[in-house]
Amino acid sequence: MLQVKNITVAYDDVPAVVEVSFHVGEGEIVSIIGANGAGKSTLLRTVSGILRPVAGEIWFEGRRIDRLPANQIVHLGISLVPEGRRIFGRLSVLDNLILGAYTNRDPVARRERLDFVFSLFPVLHERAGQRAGTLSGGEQQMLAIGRALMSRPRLLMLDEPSLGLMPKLTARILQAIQEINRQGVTVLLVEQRVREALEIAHRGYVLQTGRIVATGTGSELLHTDLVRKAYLGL
Amino acid sequence: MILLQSVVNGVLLGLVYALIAAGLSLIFGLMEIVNFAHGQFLMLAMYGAYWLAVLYGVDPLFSLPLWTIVLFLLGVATYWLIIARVLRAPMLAQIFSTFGLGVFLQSLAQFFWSPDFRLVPSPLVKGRIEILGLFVGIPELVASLGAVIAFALLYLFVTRTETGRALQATSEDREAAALVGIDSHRMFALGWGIGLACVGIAGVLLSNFYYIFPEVGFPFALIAYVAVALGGFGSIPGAFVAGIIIGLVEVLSGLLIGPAYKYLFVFLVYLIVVFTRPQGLFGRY
Repeated sequence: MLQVKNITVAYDDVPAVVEVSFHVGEGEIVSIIGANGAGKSTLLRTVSGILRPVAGEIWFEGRRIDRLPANQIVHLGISLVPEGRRIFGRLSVLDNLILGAYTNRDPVARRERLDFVFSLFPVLHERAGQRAGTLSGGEQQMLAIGRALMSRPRLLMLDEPSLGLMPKLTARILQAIQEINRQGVTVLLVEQRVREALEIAHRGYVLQTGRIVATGTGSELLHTDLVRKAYLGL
Repeated sequence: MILLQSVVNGVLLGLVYALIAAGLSLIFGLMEIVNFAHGQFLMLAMYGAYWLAVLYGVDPLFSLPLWTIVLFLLGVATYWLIIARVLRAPMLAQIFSTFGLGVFLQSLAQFFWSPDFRLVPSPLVKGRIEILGLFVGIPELVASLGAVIAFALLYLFVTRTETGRALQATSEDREAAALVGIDSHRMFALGWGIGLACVGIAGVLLSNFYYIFPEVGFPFALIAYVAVALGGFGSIPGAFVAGIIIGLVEVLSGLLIGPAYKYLFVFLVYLIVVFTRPQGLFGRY
């Protein structure tokens, strides 16, 4: 479904990601794990079109997308839940969600998406009229995921959804991600919480200083020395 | 009584200031670029209304829709031809691009239309009426009513329509807006269009009672900058309240202290804001 081929991404000539390749198959949950600064966010931001790779190619469902701007990539069915949530704090929860469906103005389809998001996160329904900036951190994360789902993506990418959340809420978010995946949405997840991220993943990649150093199924990776020592502290 | 009269005059003037400031604030809020040619666009709208009245006998009140549209298109063109090219440029380049545009437009007006002071001959709205012992100039009244209507429409557009919400989203977080599929260039162009349409409406309404000359926009723009700073950069309701406050300060200080000092107090307000509440009344920066 998504093929990333040998991409290099640089900020002002300093490479953050070097010749990285990975793929995500239809229906999978794929986790990319790694320490702070390893280049995980850079990868997702590049796939979503915010950043341009200086080398390499990105293909989605048979189309090359690495030259498209972010607002067109959403139309193709890729949605990013950005790091730090980035909800529109001055707008209401409902307005945030409606803007999430900016690419699809059909009211029936919107209603249906909205119902799906509300069934996934009932708290957003309760707070629909509230200013999004007044939500708690966990609720904001739910809103960010909900907003990304409103465009009916076939590939949902999440950048550190657990950031700043307490363990109970993290579990709730990861559970929701699995639920979304069961509905047929392919998931690409980037996380610092290595154990949780690999537990729910079909496959995973380990990113270190801009390069992929290991790959395998989630449970395989959980049992490698590399992951156990470097990320789980065992 | 004379105090009350001044309060009324101040509010009427302030509403026009508010509309000019709203356009400026909208553009700044969207992309953190200050339009230093704002006053010159006001001047263009005033000349536009003037020439249509002189050459074709079209009263400014009737040419108002035309100039609103023309200024909107000028705004869109300004964005695509100039601003889009300096979007990622250093701030100084951005300042010079709009400042230079202002100097260019003003010189152009001087070149074609001479520095003479002009007045629209016998506009439809003229004279004054007496309400409860207060005298209100009809052109001033029409101008402030027009400003209020334009303001209300702007507010409804921004808060009640999908495109307006997309505009707000872009203003709050350009990147997150792009991630939901909003084309920020289109929103920026729209912002410039609306911003200049506001100043165009204000210019045409002012042309009914104000002298028209190439530098006419400058003091208005200067006051609009103060209003934007006072109201909070990027805040449209802020521009509304701040415009009225500044209109009041200007007229009341002119009455109580002396007309020669009125701008002194307007800019004193600016200094007080900068020192005590730099984010402005409704600001977010």
